[in-house]
Amino acid sequence: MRAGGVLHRFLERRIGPWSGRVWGLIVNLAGNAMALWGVASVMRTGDGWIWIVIGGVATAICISALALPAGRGDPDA
Amino acid sequence: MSGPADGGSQPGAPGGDPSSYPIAQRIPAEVLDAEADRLAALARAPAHRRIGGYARLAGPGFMGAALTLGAGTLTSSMLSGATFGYRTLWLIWLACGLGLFMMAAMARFTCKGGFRVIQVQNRRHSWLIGSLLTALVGTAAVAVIFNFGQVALGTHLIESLAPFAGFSFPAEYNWVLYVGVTSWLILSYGRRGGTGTRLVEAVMKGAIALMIVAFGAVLVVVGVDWGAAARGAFVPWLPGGGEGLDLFIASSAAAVGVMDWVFFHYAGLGRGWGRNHESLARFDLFAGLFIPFVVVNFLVIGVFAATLFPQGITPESAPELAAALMPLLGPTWSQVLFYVGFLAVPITTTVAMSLAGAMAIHEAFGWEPDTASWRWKLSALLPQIAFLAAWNARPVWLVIFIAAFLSLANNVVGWSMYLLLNDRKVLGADRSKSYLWNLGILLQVTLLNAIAITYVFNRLGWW
Repeated sequence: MRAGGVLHRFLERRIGPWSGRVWGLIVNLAGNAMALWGVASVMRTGDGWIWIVIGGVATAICISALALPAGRGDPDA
Repeated sequence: MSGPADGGSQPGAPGGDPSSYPIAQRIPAEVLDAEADRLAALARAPAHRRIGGYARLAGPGFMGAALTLGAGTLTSSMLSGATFGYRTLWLIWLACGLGLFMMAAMARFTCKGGFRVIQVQNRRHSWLIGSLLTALVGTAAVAVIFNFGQVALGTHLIESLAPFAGFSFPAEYNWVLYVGVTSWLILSYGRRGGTGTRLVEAVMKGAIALMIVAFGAVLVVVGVDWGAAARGAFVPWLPGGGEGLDLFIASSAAAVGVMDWVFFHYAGLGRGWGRNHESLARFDLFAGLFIPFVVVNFLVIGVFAATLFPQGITPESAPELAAALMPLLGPTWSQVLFYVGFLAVPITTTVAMSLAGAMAIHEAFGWEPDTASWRWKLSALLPQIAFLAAWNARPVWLVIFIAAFLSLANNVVGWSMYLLLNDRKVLGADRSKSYLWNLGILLQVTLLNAIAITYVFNRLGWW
């Protein structure tokens, strides 16, 4: 519950130029790129599984976190 | 992108009045009131009566299906059937089903938001994302470029059909008929107190019914391997290596894209949809978009899986695929039926794309859409420049440029829609409160990211 509240606040808070949700989308894009880079490497040389794992985990974490809807406890609610 | 500091402005405030959209203003108030009363009565009616009532009131979803079921989608399905048999059937419902989450967000913007999404994007996320990427690149430019494929296919099909009636009608001449019929439908939209809109919607519904009847009858003629079809529909399979990943990414993300999002939203506004219409909008998405998309693609894949696949024939273009199919269809009537059903595909797509393009151009430049004005007519008829396709003329450099821009832009527009759906200052209490809804949208956004990334990797020679 507490972790959920922290995540909610992070998603809605402005950090630098953008909100936490935007940063989450950017990290998700980086995770997607890492995973696809790994796939491309595996197809070319047979190496690169580590990138698939790191990128895949980053993608899964970002998607799971970003799917949290804006709640009542958000800043400015 | 949105942050707490950049302030929600009044016009984007929740609960705007959707009937203020100029195309909806042409509908007499008593018609809108009668529809609201009917919706209220249907909400209390038993399920079977509600479904029947909704089916009569639905429209923008069918227009969305007509838009999506174009030359590109059908060629892709024909190729899939000819190359892989029934084995990629599962991708069809998965791809379209995934797209419904974003389409439901567009329905929320229309019905509960009551705002014009591109204008809100301009305010919250900058004109670069709203006017440029969503309206001009993702919708208007795509309408012009992709219409070349529709006209090329449509005129070829008319040329192929003419000999069955005992005369010759080459594409170099029949483009006049194609452009004339589609232009009449395009210019009917939004006219005569809303009856023009209902006429176009009725034509779209009829054309989709025609596709289902035509392809269904042809499938009955060629026969179905039901066991293989059932396995293909529910057991995921992909070709090995990069080809499989390419097929999955392209099919999953391309079924429903930016133009479909924009068109469904503005077509709903054009019908005067408001808060009470959200159930109807969701029904329309399922019955008008999802079911026709899945059924038509299933039928087309089935026809080619039963005919060209066993013989190992895999032509590369839609005309070649159709020509290779003809000798295998048997009776003349089934060949004619296939061509007639197939002709409905480019015609409806040309009409829907042209309307989407006109709506987007007006939003991009902040013009009020007046369907009686010359500005609207010119914007709506702009994609008809594709009549040049009747001579095989295609602006290849423009196609490459737009495809590149689109590959890199689609995901950013998807991000923008996801952020708006979760933006309290835009939707207030009507923002998304569903984890599952957000999850579905994020999966589609991730697939759009994958398209952009593989495009860049391709350019760099890494893929």
